[in-house]
Amino acid sequence: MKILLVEDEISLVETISHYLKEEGYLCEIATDYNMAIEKIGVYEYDCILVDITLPHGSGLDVVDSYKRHEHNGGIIIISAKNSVDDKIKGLELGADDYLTKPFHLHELNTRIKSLHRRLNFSGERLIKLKDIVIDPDAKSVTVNDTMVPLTKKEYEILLFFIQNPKRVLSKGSIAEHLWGDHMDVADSYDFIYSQIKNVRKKINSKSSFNYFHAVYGVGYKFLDQ
Amino acid sequence: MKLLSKTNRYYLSSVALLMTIGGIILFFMISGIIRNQIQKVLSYEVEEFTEKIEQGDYGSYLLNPIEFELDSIQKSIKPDEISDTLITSSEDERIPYLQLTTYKKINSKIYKLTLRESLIQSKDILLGIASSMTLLFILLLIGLLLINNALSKRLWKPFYAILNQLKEFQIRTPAQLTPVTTDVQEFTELNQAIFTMTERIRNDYEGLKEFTENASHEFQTPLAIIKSNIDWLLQQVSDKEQILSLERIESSINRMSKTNKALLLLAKIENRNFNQYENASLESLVLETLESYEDFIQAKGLLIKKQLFNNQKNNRPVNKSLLQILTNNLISNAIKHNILKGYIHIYLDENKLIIKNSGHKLTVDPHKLFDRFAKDNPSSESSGLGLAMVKQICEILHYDIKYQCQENEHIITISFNL
Repeated sequence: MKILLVEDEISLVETISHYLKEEGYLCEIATDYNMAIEKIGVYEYDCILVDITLPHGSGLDVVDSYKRHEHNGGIIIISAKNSVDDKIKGLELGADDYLTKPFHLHELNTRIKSLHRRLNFSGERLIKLKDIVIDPDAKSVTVNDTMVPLTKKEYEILLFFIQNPKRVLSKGSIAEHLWGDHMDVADSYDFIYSQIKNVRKKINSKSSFNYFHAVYGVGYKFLDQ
Repeated sequence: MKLLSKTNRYYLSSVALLMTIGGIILFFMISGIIRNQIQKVLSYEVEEFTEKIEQGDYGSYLLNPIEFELDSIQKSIKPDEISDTLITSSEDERIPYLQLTTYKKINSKIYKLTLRESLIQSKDILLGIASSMTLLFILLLIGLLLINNALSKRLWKPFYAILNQLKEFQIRTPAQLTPVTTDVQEFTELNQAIFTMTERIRNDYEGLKEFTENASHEFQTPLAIIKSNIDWLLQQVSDKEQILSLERIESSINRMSKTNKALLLLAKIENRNFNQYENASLESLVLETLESYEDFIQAKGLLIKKQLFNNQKNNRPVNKSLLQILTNNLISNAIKHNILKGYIHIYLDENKLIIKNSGHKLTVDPHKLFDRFAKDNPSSESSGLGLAMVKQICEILHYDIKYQCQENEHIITISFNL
């Protein structure tokens, strides 16, 4: 899967591209408006990640130009501007998602994956890992061919974990993914632990594998062994 | 005290003083003149009287013993003497007289002549003067007041126009002061000074507002870099201590980025960046918000009681985002600062929204919590910006907000002022 990262902040570019490469993506970089326009004019990408504020131009124009080239890839805007207007404008121009800085890399990864799944109609619809099969359209989960009924949040937890396997997922990033700013309301992360404990119990009761591993003091790791 | 009544008061007292002094001077001048005249009359009468006595005519002396007195056989001639005296009349009335005592040698005898002239007429004249002075005083006063009032209203008109504009002046509304046209130099200068001053204040304020927004904005990218690098490091490090240290960095960064986000949002609200108006129903917003916090409400075992009276009036053109932030912040506060197995009561009708919740007793004045970064518990992880945002939004939407805390119950009342 080929991704174009349009972002002018070099340190951020390095971290994101490094992470994406580890995830198995092919990641190309454009650090200003002209470079981005040049690249989308020549190459095809499965997904482009665009920052709005760029040297020599706006990321919104990159989105516009990309759409006019009739590319099929998805577009995710990553911006420091948490402005409703920009969000609406971006989505109107044809962007598929809008991620506000600062974000967790796992969050970006999850968004890219779900976007890719949405756009890739011809491909495999089901998410499979060992004996777990998730149908994102029906939001249903089967383990060893038996249906596991999960609550909405439990399903989201499992989806987030399965899309970021072998990674240490901190409670902060899990909380942010599931509840966003609402997480402020919780007094502690105990709340997440109990939710994860429930999913873990439900999956483990049907599976022959132990997927959920606690990482002491930090969070969890999803392992397929 | 109004400027007009103050000047009137000064006018009145100075006119009264001047009139009194003038009256006194006039009194003395006129009474002097009258005395002078009477003296002249008396000396003339002395001549006449002497002549008559020389001729042996005592008629006037005998007829008018009060005004003409004659003592004969004096030893020597003494100088003339003028004096005042009071004589009781037949009606038992004491009448002032001016008397002239003179000594004359008539037919080789020395006589003492005492002639008197009544001063009662001059008293009448003085009374007349005093009453006409008083009348003049009153007339002058009325005239002065009328002229002064009319003039002041005219002259001070531009001043009041400027004053009214200043009263209406609001730093947050972009409306500029309209210059008042006047040919009075002082007012033109005042106009100019106020105009430049308000512009300067407004520019400073704008700059400050933009500064907060820009500053929070500038933090976003570095925060993004830190956050993604921590994510990355977490995958590489296996040492327990190092992982824990990274976790501490991460939670601090999360807290910082939350505060920054809130600050940015607050700056946006203050900068009136929410200009789109649409019909929004507060009732459905309350329900949506409650639903989005369902997990947390359950986790805390809170009892929710809703009394939502939907009314067409609740659907009003407002900025939906603002209303969303408002309900979200209020309800999330009610959940967050609640106790286990506590309660939240939400009441909504066409005039007000009341949110009551159980919680801990406040140690600070509830209205202080509307300030930025104000917290009841300084060590709490909350940003302290939630209620500041609510306050701002209420100001924009012209809602009244009240926060009461009775023992363990917190009540926030928002009145819509329809």
